Amino acid sequence: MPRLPPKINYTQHESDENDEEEETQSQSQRKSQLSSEARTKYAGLVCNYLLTAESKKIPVRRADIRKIVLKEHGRHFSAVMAEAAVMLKKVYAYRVVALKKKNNFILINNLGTSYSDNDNSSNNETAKMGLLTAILTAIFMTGEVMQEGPMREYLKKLSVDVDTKEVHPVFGNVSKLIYQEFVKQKYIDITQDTATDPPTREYRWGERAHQELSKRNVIDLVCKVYGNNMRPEVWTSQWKIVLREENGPQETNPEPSRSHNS
Amino acid sequence: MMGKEARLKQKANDRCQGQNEVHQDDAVKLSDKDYKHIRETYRDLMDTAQEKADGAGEAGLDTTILYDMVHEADKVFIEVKRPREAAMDAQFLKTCGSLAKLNIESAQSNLNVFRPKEYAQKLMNFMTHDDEGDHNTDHPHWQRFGKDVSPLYKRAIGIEPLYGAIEWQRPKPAPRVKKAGKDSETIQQVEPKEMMASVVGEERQTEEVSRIFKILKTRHRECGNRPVCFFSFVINPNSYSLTTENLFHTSFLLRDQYAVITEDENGLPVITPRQTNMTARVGGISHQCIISLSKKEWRSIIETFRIENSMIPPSSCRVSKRKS
Repeated sequence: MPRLPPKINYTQHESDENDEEEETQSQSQRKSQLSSEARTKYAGLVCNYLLTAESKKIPVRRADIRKIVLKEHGRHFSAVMAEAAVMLKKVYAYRVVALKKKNNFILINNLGTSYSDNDNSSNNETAKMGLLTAILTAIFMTGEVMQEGPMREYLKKLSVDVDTKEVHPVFGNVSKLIYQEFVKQKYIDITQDTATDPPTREYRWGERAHQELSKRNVIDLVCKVYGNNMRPEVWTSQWKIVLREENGPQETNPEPSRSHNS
Repeated sequence: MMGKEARLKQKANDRCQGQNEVHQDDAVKLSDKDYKHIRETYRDLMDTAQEKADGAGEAGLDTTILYDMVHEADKVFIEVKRPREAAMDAQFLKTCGSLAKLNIESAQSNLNVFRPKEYAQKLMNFMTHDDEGDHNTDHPHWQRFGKDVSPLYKRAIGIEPLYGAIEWQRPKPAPRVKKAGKDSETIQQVEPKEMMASVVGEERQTEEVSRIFKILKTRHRECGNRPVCFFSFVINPNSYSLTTENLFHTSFLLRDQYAVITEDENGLPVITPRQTNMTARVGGISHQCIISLSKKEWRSIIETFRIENSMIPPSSCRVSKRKS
């Protein structure tokens, strides 16, 4: 690491510190192991980082953790991360979930949330959750994939217009909200179907949605909205999916393992 | 439903077998009129099927109708001897098959096909109803709905620390590069600033002015209450800059009329302190003049008047600064 000539006092001090660190680094390189206190310390920092990143709900990248928190000790990522995961689980009952896209992480609440937990979030946040739920419900009930056309019409019916430039009174820029925010947060997964001309979008549940929501709850919600004490079993194909989720966690891939709660 | 499918399949199988027999049985020939008749029958059947399909809508044809048509075709097929007619028969059967499929699909999903628009409507109703149950509000309560569904999510709640989550240092390269170039400048700037701060500060100024006033009064008394030679008073033979400052402070005394400058017999300026400023401002008439004192003049004055010591000793803080 090039150093400037020590013109100003504090630079001198800095270079001393760095020299010291470099020694430790070479030492640890020889040892190729992080002391357990250092590991715990870094794990704590990683926990803080994960918790803070979670407020935006955007997945955390491994590269960022290495660069910002671990710095020179990037090699010990897996060990530190493992300890951080244990910490989060013990203290907050949060699970660190690795996403399919390599080296991205999100936090999932192992215990459920109750009504009062969300009193802190702003009104806009809860409204967004409402819209998100409506979208995810529709996608699920349409057979887990929804095409652009039906989605558009569906949203229009909910007086959410993605096409206009007008600002929605509650959600603001809806197109940005749905196509960017929800997608970045991994709640919705949008793929382009190139077969058609012009290419249309296909909407699916994102990984976070799979982790955070249970399909059972979704189908119950649908019945509640329909009213008349509708039974969820009425929706045969969707009900099959629900049962599969509940009974066979090994089969469907992104699964909260209900039976293996430690 | 399944039964009818099976029956159709069965018929298809029979048909294939029948076609084989047609090939083998070349000997039996029918008249052209008969062929034409067969073809016409098939065409009729196909037209009927088409009509019915168009008229039936989404659900497809009623299966009994389908079954009858297939049965009709069956009857005709017995007569069929040539591939041409057999081809027509195959085509007709295909049409029947697809109609049957439509019928089956719609019948199966009649109860629980999810129609998004329908659901959207229900959801809007759900969100717009008041607590009393009337559909009074015209805007949907997204927040209320969102609050109801939020417990369904296993969300982790993030924290937002005020000062950021990790210690980070301001990126160093920027100030470093700057300071390397500007070092000399800053040094120069720093000193003058400090000097000015100590002297030009308001309090310091008034201190200095009052100090000079005291000195003036003392001298005046010592000289037996006679005016003090202006030059001897102001000039500091050791430092030109201090002389300038003395002039500066004296000007305040003059402005507020704590002192007066007059000419003595020789035409040299003399300065006298006043008791108090008896007349604060002489209504509008202000006696002012500008004194210029170049270094040369300063030196010549020192020589002429043989000023060896300054009447106004430099202030203590200035002394220490000078030493450093």
